[in-house]
Amino acid sequence: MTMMAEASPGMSEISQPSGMNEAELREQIGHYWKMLGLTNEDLIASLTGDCLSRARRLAGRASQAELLRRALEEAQRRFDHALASAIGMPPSNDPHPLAAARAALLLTPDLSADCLFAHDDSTRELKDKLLACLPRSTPEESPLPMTPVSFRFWLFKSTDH
Amino acid sequence: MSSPPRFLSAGVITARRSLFLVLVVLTAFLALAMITSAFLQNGITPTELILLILYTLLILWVSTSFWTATLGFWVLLRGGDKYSIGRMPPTRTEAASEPARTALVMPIYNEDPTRVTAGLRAIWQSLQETGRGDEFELLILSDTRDPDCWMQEEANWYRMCVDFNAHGRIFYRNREKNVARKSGNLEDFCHRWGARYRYMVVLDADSIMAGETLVKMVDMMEEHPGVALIQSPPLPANHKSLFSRILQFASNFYGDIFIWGINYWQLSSSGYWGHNAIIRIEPFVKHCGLPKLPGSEPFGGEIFSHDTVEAALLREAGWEVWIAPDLKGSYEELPPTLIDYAKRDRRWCQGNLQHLRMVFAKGFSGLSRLYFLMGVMSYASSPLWLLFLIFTGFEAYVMSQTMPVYFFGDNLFPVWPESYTVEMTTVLFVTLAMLFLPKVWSLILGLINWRGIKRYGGIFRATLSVLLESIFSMLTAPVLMIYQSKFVFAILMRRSVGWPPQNRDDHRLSLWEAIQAHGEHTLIGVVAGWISYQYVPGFFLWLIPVLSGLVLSIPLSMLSSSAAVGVAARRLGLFLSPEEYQEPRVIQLLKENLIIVEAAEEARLAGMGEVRNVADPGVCALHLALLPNRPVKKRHRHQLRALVYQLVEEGPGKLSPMDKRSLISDPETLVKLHTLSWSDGDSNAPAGG
Repeated sequence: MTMMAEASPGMSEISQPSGMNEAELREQIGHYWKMLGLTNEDLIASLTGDCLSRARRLAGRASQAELLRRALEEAQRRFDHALASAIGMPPSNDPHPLAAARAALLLTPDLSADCLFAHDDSTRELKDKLLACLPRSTPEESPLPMTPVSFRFWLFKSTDH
Repeated sequence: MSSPPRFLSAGVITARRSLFLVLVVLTAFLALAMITSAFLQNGITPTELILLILYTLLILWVSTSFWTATLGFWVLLRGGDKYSIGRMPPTRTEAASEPARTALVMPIYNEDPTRVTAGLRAIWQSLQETGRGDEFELLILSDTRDPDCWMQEEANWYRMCVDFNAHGRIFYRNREKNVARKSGNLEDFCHRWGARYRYMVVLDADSIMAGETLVKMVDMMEEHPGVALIQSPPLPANHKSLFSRILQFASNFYGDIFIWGINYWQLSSSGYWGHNAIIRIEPFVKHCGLPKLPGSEPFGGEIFSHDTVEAALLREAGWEVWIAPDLKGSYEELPPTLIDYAKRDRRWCQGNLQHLRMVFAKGFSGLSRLYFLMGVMSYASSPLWLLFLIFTGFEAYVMSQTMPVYFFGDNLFPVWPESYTVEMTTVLFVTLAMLFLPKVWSLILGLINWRGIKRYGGIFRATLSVLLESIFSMLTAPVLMIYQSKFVFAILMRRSVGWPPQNRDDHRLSLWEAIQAHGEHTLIGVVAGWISYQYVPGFFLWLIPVLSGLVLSIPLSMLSSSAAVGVAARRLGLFLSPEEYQEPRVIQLLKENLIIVEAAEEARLAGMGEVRNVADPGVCALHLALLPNRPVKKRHRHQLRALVYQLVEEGPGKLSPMDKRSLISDPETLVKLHTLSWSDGDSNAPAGG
């Protein structure tokens, strides 16, 4: 999280009012879609437009920074919705399973997110691939209790166990 | 534990240890007899008594090391030792019910994620090349607190899983609280997954182990069910700076005789060095849960150097603990500069001094107490040497001020003062011989095994390297003596040293850094030299080697920190190690992976501008996916919101690392930060296009 490191100015400037014009706004949201794994420029342009429209409806006459934030949140919502539909994930308040699927999609090379919005056979193929590479960070627990031994000392205080 | 058949008889163990102890004690006794006979001529003064006590402790320590090396030399002259774990016939009587599953565990704490990942990738690939990779799983046990490092570790872990198609075989977990540091980290692993594995191989962040070595270690454990732990002797590898290359050469060239010597007298009651070792999990879990010692640091609190204590507990429970001298393919890295070496010493010093308390623990055998004492002496010897030098100088001054009296009472003829030069010089040379002879033993072995010495650059270059290494170690020894004496004093004054991560990267020291670190050493050297030259000129001459090291410490430390000089020395064929002469496959893999991991990181950053990790949707999603599912209390939620406002208004510099960690530990806040990082609109936000 370099943006939070001393040397990086990223987060420190979050509060500054954004001086973006419409084109820059679209470019930033479009770039975000690309970072979400989309490659189809037409699709990106269309989704960006949708996100901005909805953000405008929600934000009203808010600042450009607020507008951008709302548009980004909308992009995240649409992406997650498409992803959940693609892999058949039921709606849940737990953000972890969907985050795992998102991570697998974004960090596995050769997986394109375009098909999330394609609604054809490619979605099924993506689902199989994604399920195979979902992050499994720890093995199934198989506990073995480890009790601290007790030490008794000459000259020093002994342990309590 | 049901006692398995043992190949090693009690007679062999007793005979070898008795021989070793007799040699150590006899040597110390003879040296002491000479020095005492000199002192006794005119009755012992208080200063002489102090000198005798100090010398007794020091000569015992030097003699222990000397005889370990000499016995190792003798063993190697005879072609090895049949009583070593790698050469003993299997003691297993019946086949195991199911194949063993082994966990490779690497506890890490704020280490360089690139180097850690490259090392793990190399180990994993090397393991797969053996064809027995399926028997192993890899667990990265992170105690990392630094938020940047934490997310980077996760991203690197997942990339490893993808690249090697090892989903469900390579694991990563970050502990929420790093209770009891490394031993607590391993304990947590055993608590949660201990029953899943028969063995664990403990790795350090800089460990590199060849797949063949790992497989062989598992086989040895399978063949010897009475063995709880086998320690492989890790050799330094992959170094550039002159300092670490000299140490690397020394460890490689002289290491064998010491390792075989240790095996000669320790046999099945050897030690554990904390990493590059295989451990049978069941007895480890049963006997090695470490308590927090009552009282405050340095003698109380968590047990720092847990490895020695764990090995002692296993031995006392009747399990065998071996070192495997003929196991190759086990590597580690060294600190790149003299200052980093001293910093590492500072951490280890506290752990080893804590063992002074363990000497007084009830229920341990004499051998375990001896090991604890040896650990203490490895640092306590420095202040003892320092005191010895100071008192010797004082004694020399007193002697120089004493006017000889030639005529007593009614004696007609003068009584000439007796000279003790012969005795004292003999004692000095015996001590020096014991310090330097192990180097000669290694050279002799090299001369006998000319094929082996080719890997050190041939006879001429190896001899020259030994000579230069001896001069270098002679010059750096006084600096380390002062450092370690300071550490011991600070720790005894109850100034804890904490557990900072180790610096393993090559970096040349600047003049200012060197002056800051060695200014006091230079000053001590100049002042001690002036005083001795002024008041005891005879002693000054003897002190020159010690003074030179101190006076030259700044240029020496700077020069030796240079990677360019280290590489130049390598081109000249100096301080070569077998791993440099013919690079092992696993080291090749390490270097390849360093390039791959660095390139992948650069590619990712190129697409992200200056912000990353939280801003990177993939890395952020992965982090979120791995966060534990914990309900957040209302008060904590308010605190997190306050932190976000603080971050936005005052910038990241005002937040502590713990605050930053709190922010990215909460899923809701993490998502908020991710969105904020993209809605900045500034040029530092991820750039479009």
